[in-house]
Amino acid sequence: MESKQKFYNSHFPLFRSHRKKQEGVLFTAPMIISLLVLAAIIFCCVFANVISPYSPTEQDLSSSLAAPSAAHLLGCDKVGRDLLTRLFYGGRTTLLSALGVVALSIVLGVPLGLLSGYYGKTVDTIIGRICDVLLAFPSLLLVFVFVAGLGRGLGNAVVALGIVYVPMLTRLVRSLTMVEKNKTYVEAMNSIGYSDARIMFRHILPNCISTITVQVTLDLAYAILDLAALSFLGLGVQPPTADWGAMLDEGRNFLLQNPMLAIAPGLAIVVVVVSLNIFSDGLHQYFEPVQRKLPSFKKYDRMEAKARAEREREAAKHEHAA
Amino acid sequence: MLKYVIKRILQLIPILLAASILIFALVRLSPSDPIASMTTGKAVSAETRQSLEEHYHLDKSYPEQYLIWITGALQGNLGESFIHKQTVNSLIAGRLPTTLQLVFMSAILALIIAIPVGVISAVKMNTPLDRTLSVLTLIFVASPVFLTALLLMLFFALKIPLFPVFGTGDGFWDNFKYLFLPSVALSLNMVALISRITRSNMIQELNSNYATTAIAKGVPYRRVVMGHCLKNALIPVITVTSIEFGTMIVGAVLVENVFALGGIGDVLLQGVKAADYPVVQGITLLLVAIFLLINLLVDIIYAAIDPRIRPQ
Amino acid sequence: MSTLLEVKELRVELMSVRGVVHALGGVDLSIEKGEIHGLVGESGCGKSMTSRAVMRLLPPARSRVSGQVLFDGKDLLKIPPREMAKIRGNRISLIFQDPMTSLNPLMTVGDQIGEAFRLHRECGKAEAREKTLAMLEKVGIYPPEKRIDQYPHELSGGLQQRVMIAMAIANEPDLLIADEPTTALDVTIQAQILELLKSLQKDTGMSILIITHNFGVVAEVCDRVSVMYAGRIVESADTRTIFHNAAHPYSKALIDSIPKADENCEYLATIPGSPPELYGEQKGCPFAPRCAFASDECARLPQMRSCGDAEGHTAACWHFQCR
Repeated sequence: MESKQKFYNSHFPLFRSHRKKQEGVLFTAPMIISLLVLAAIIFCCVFANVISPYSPTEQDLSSSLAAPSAAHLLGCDKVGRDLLTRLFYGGRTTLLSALGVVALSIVLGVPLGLLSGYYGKTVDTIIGRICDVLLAFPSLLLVFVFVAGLGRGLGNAVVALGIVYVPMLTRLVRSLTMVEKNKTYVEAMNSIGYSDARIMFRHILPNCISTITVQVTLDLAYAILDLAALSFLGLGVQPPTADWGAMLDEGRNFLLQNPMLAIAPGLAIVVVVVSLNIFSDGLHQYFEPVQRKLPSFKKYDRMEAKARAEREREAAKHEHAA
Repeated sequence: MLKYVIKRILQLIPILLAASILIFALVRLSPSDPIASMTTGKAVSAETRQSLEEHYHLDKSYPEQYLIWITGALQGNLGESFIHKQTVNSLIAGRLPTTLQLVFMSAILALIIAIPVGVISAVKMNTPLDRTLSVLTLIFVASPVFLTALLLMLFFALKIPLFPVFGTGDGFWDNFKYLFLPSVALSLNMVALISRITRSNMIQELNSNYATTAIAKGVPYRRVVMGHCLKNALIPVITVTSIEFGTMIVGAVLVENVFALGGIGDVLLQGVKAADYPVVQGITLLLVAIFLLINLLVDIIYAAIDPRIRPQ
Repeated sequence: MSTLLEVKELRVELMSVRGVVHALGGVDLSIEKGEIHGLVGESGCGKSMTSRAVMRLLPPARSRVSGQVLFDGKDLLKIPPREMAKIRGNRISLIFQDPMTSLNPLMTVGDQIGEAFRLHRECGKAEAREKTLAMLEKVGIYPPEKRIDQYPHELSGGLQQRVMIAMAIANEPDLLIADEPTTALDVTIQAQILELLKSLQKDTGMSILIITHNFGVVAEVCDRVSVMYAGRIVESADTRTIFHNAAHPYSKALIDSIPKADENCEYLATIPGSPPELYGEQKGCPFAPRCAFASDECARLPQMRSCGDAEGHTAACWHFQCR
């Protein structure tokens, strides 16, 4: 410990975390802010029935298209329903369905990627071709076809979108698996007779979790955007259920009378997606630190001078005490 | 080089065929009754039903129907719409120019704005300008295209009547006025994404060894940025552009919906909602084919620019 | 002999996540006209940093350079950037360690060499091409007409390094700085490149500063040698003196640890410990913790003093080890 003490006294590390421990930083400022924002939104949506001022179906035709006021923080829609309440309830639908899409893509995509990367050859070719066909469709187009055939509705939209997201995840997991497969620990496990499934799921997969997590948080953001687009076109959520996309679809008819009807859900979507992007970026930086922002020399000199003055004061105090 | 192109085109064909099978299967999987959508639910006599079925080949087995459709499609005949009394081809022909012009304008706008913004952000890394641009691009990457379309319509067509609210003009040049706001809305996502990618690539290239060599040779900094690093940095951007084209196609559907432009997207959407199979099948197949061709084109450009990729 | 380049008290501070790194703590170096000067030391001792600092290639946002670099009557650290750009590639050139990544993969070899001509000499494309062909022949790239339109990845490592050399000497610089020019190449090619450098030096009379950690290279080409440790020059002498009569304990230990073919021993000599981390100002001799001859005096930083045996032999130590 003494040498560590000497090390710290001999120079002035810059980031507070480094003054405590010399490791990579998970909780940087952007990460914390984005996590707080996401947590707040999730809280509001989960506890919508507790914290909403009104019920989402309560109509009050006298306040039709009311502007934001003390009674209705965001105003009302055409039939007098409180917008803030609808925002919370709509958020529930949006977030849950996006979660469903991502969950489906993970359940399908990760095993396919593992199998594809681990076994290679025929398995890889078959899975690869399926992915190629799926990727030949510009994202939502496949969902359109799906919905055309099987009908509109949130369930169909979620399933279709989940399938559309599978190829990207499969490719990612596949390339990660191929890298891991060539490492010695896999060879070692083979030689002691571990089954392939065990190696893939209990050993290779955990090594890929960090990259997969970064991709999954991004996919969550894309899912929210795509689902909102589908609902906006009338292909996703069906009335009376509403999500943010459907609310935008309603709001567009009243742009001049009460623009809040469109702006509120739109802003909600933007805030969630931006927070998810920042969070994903922060995770990526934590797992693979590339470009840290460094302070300028002026700032460093100021910090160093302050620290030196403090140290001298401490030393003077000790002298007085002694 | 030519061999590479031919090889890639040949690879494309099975994918396109597989995609067509997928389209056909998904659409026909539906439990709904095509005759009902044709007649919008009105009751019809048994003879009318039979004649309709024969006309649209619905009495044949699925594999047969598929073959009839695909052979027709390969010869350029995409079938007849159930709802509109027109062939799919004529429906497309009337709407495609608008959509193409929209996509074209967006792409050009995106490239003209995004690349300089990305380069400037990279050169002036971590200055207030860069930070502001970074925040702006972050917000625009996250904004759904229909939201930006609505907001643009609200501010620049409704509140301040600078541009027409909806519809299209007559002819190519008049359309510029009508398609300006829609193409701005459509391009905003791409602009943000491309400028972010350009920025991070440029930063990487500016830190590379060959950039240091160029400076050590005495090349002025501006020349290093534009003449040496830019070309290297743009190569990954090309790849992203080809993927983004798919997003643009979907985005065009959304933007056309908001601005009531009457392009291909509108017809497709109507077809999906009304279960108008020939329209959905035909337009989707066309869009997939265009998407695959654009991917191929991008790969060829990639090989043309980067000498390391060219097959020796 | 007149001094071509004189470096005085060169200090470099670099900003990193863990604090400021004092990469160079006062380097003094002087290179004569027509001399081949070697700069040796372990990895991380600051050799490459010196060359970057002299050429002002360090990013200004993350580095702070002080001291003097006197060349042709001017202090290179103080002249405006535009003037420095005119000197780079023209009067002073730098070649790098890894030729594969140091050449632009999207430009042909001919274009890259031609750029050196077109920047500093007023000549058009055709004339630059002529000169490039001549330069390719001079550095031993055959056949020049074929190679001039090839891309870097189509050339082998040795040829790439020759291209780098061609770019560097295109404008007949007074000083060529070669930063570990042979480290990335295999031994046979190493010899060829060193021969090339020697013959070019004889032809043009330019000075060369060779940065290396390989004493074999030093023995092969260098007239004088400077040894660096922890961001400082600890000894400077002509080649013969360094090998036979090193004064500084570090240089001596380095020379002693070179395996000799005719030696009969079980263990190779090493230097225990590792170089210090360079955060914070250095107080006292940086080598003291690892030095067998350290004493209380070493808490004071030794200055370079003459050793008294050969001319120009200086070392920074309180306890000279020369016989």
